[in-house]
Amino acid sequence: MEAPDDSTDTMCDAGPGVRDAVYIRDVRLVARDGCFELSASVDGDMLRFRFPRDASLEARAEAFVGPALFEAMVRNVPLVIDDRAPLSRALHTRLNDIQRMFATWNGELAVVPIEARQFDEPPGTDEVLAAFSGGVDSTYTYAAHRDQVTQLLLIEGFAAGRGGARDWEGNVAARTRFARAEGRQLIAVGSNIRGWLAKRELSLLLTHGAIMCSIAATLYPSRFLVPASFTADELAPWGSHPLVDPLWSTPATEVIHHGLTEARVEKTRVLCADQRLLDQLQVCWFAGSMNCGECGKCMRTALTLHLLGARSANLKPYTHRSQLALLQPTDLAHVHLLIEIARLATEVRRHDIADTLRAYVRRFRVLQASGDLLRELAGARALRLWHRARPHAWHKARGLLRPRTDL
Amino acid sequence: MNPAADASSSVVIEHVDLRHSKDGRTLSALVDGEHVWFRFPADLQIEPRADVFLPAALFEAMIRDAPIVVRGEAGISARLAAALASLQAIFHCWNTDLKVVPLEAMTVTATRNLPGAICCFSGGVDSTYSFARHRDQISHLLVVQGFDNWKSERDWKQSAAERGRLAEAQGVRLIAVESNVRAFIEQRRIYWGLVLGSVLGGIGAALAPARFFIPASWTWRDLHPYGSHPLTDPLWSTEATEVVHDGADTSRSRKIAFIADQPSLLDQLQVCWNSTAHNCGKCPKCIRTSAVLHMLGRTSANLPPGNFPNDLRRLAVDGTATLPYVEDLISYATACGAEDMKRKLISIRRRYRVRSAFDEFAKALLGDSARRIKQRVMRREWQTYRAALHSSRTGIA
Repeated sequence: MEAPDDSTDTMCDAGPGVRDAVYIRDVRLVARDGCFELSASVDGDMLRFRFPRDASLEARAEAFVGPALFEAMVRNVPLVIDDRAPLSRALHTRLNDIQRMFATWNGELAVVPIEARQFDEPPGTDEVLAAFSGGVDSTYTYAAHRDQVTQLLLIEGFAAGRGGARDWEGNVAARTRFARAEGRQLIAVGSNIRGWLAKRELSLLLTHGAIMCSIAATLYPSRFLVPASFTADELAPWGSHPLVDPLWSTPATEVIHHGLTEARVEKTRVLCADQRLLDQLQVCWFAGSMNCGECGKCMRTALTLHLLGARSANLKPYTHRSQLALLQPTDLAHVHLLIEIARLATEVRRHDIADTLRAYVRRFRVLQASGDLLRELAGARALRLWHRARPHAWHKARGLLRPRTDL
Repeated sequence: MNPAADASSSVVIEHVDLRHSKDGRTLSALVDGEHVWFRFPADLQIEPRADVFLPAALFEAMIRDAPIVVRGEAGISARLAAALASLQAIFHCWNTDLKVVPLEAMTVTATRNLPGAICCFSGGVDSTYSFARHRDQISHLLVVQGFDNWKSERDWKQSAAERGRLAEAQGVRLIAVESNVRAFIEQRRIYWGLVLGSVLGGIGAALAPARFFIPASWTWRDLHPYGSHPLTDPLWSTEATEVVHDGADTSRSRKIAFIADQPSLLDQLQVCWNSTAHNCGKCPKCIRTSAVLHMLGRTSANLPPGNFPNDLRRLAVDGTATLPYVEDLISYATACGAEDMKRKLISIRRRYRVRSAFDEFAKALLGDSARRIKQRVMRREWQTYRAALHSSRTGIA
């Protein structure tokens, strides 16, 4: 499949009143370059999703609602959908609840009206669709529902990676091999969504769950499985969330946020029962089609496999303690993962590894606490000066998980 | 009885019995060898099912890693029984000391006893807001003995009487449920904050209305492991009853502002930490309520108005569970343009953050051994619990 252009095309005529509402217009489904392209003008820019030719879909607006919703919420303007592209009545009702959740997380996001022609959708297909990047979470969710899942969903712009179109092609090829071996259908959705979001400075961390679920709604499966990234004890505002994802359910499709109660190490342990699952693992921070073996995410997966006595053909194995240095945590989420791995190391009597990881966690906590202490002692004015001196991307982002005043 | 005496055996619910008397309908059972009972108003339809005893048995069983067995003909709602594994998985995720255990019970389809909706109602901000918001659906308010200030029989009677007066004035019916379940939980040294949502869910299953509202204490933004939670409460739904964790989309200050527009509800607010029968006006919970009313320029007949911003010093920010309330007050003061209140609140927050950062720094520097020594020297009540919201085995390996 040809990789789509990663840019967004600005429409010359965005239409009247464009500042007063976010419009989804000109929803089209055309066969192009061996795939079905579902496109629309969303807030004046073309947004495209390219589905494989064997995917069953119609020219409807659902796929565009996810991203458009956030632009409308940031601007506090209505979301208006072209009459020719109807929206599921059930989803229309739920969109209010979905917005309330995001607005509770971040009071800078407003709950806005959605104007659309509604219809009662027919029953869903018999398909069970699972979001699938090849990572530990999605492979675990697939493994847990292997007897039910018929389709795997991969979306361009979601996986980490710096390789652009080539990386996406490699990712699709790898996931296709796995899907074929498993007798499942891979639905690889090419998209320019990343560019669309970047132009609007909307965070993917905020929007990714909604984008996934709205694409799934376009495909009408009976169930859509969204793999959990975090466990129930560490819930925080995040684009894909156990309380938000199921709100995208419709009479046709039940959306399930899965894997919420299993820690990453436990998920990996389950995968170790099947070498085929291990050999396709794609976990890298820097690539979507191969694992670099040198980033923190590759290393913590390789170390977990090492401690469990397993290997992945797609991941350089852990060989020496010097590699542990890659695991020095940079945020609290990493600390949780390190603690899990340290417990596993103790369980398998690798106290040397457990001690090293424990030392990393402790050092991180000392540094973080001292930073917090300094920041609090210095006060808000010093913090503002610091942010001005060292600006981050989120300083100018318009849609964030929490209000700017929290950051 | 000694809970640890027969640690390996099942936790059994048996002799489920429903008796009618002039005092009410008493549903009782032997739970792990102890008599647990719930007394409902005499005119309510109650089925002799075992659902209501599940919370008492569940946590004991999870602590002991022992199956739950329901003996006799009293069944469990099939939907609830099916959800029990998911419910336990969440509690296990929060606290790995709690194990996921099997349930052996006859399952039945729960039938609806009340066509309307019940709202759990303490008279506090969260429950008053839920009642006000869903006033068109709610037919009954529920108060349960054993929640706030649970040892005082006098407070319970007075509180139930006051909630009853409000219910009558609002044209809804009050259901006052008496029970010894709190005593059972406390005797087993299980933290009530872990169990309370399940106890309410079990009572909801017994009363079997169409909808059962459990008012949220925290917003979606401030979620943390707690016995009443948007992930766990709905799992107590049955074929007859949908359990709704309600109000997590609205901050406490916005809830108070909503209530303030309805004088009859505002004047019955009961928020105090020190009493369930009146508001002391001095505890942090009274203060954070009266602070919002002060910013709104309103008063409640049931709450001393306070002297602001000075009284804000009484706000005790002692952890991540109470910090969101101060954050909320700061947001509200900002929105209201109450600069003096905002300044004081920011200063309180800063003091907490400095203290907390210093504690964290000391803890990180000194490590687990210092924490263990401190716990041994300064033993706190939560350390005596057999199960709380988090594992008692902290540290990293």
